[in-house]
Amino acid sequence: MERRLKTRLLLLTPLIGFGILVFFLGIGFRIGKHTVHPSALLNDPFPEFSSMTLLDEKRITRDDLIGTFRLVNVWASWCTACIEEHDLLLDLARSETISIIGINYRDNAEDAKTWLYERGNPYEKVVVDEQGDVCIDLGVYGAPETFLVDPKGIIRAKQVGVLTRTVWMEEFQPWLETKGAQN
Amino acid sequence: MLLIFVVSFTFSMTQSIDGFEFEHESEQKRFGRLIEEFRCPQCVNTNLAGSDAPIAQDLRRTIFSLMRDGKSDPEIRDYLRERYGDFILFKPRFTPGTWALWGSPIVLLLLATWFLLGIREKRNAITLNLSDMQRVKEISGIH
Repeated sequence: MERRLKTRLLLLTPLIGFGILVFFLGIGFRIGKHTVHPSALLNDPFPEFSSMTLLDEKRITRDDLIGTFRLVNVWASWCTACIEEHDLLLDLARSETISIIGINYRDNAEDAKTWLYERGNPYEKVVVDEQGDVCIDLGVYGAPETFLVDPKGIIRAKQVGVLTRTVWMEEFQPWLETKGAQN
Repeated sequence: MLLIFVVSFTFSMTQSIDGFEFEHESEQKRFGRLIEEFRCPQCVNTNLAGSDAPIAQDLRRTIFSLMRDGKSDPEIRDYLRERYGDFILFKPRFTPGTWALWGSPIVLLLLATWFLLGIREKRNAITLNLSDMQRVKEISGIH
């Protein structure tokens, strides 16, 4: 009897192995895109930086972000995906939902200015990051990438890739509402 | 042909390290080792040493300046991991979240060994049964 049980268990081994494989692949599917680009820096302070602004060429540092909620958006004139989220950014800026700071990532200043002139400028200020140093400190994979920074300078939400209205509604906007409740 | 390959290979090697001036050969070796350790964030399974992506160039420059700042290898690893997450490390850390990753080969090996040993035992058992049958046939005289 015990022997039969052992044989049966033995024959089940490949199936058990397959089961384990399916289990882990299942976890992989469920985790999905969210952890491929992990939530590094989430709930951490926005890193220190010091750079120039694109349009009025003044010094800008991390201190200039403090005091209110900011949407920090990494973009470039060469970035085609940035065009997709541009309407949303313009809407947010026009409706004064949130102050948007741009980080012009590895771009040419003239191209960047032309781009803003032609498509409209949603940014309160644009940080020039010609060498990509600010973006490395932010752990940026590429443009576009968007961060929500709270009034204390803590990163509260992050979107790698195009910021869609759904992502805005689900992951970014709720933070602004908590601010409203506190005030 | 081989010569061309070797020459072009060494050429591309020096080119990828181009722009960085090393004081010692050991420094260059350390740099070479470090840039092989990290995944290029924009590429699929390519390390920083093997990528021409702008972000890989930036990260190589970052690693170089961190080295110049006197940072140790673990400090450089932590710097990049804090910003880009575990994704950037080709060799994952051993944490509660990664025990399954590190442990699974051992578990699979044990399972496979048990399975193979079991099959062998079973086969021996069958051989024994066949010879038993032979004896039964001989004794009973049935062929």
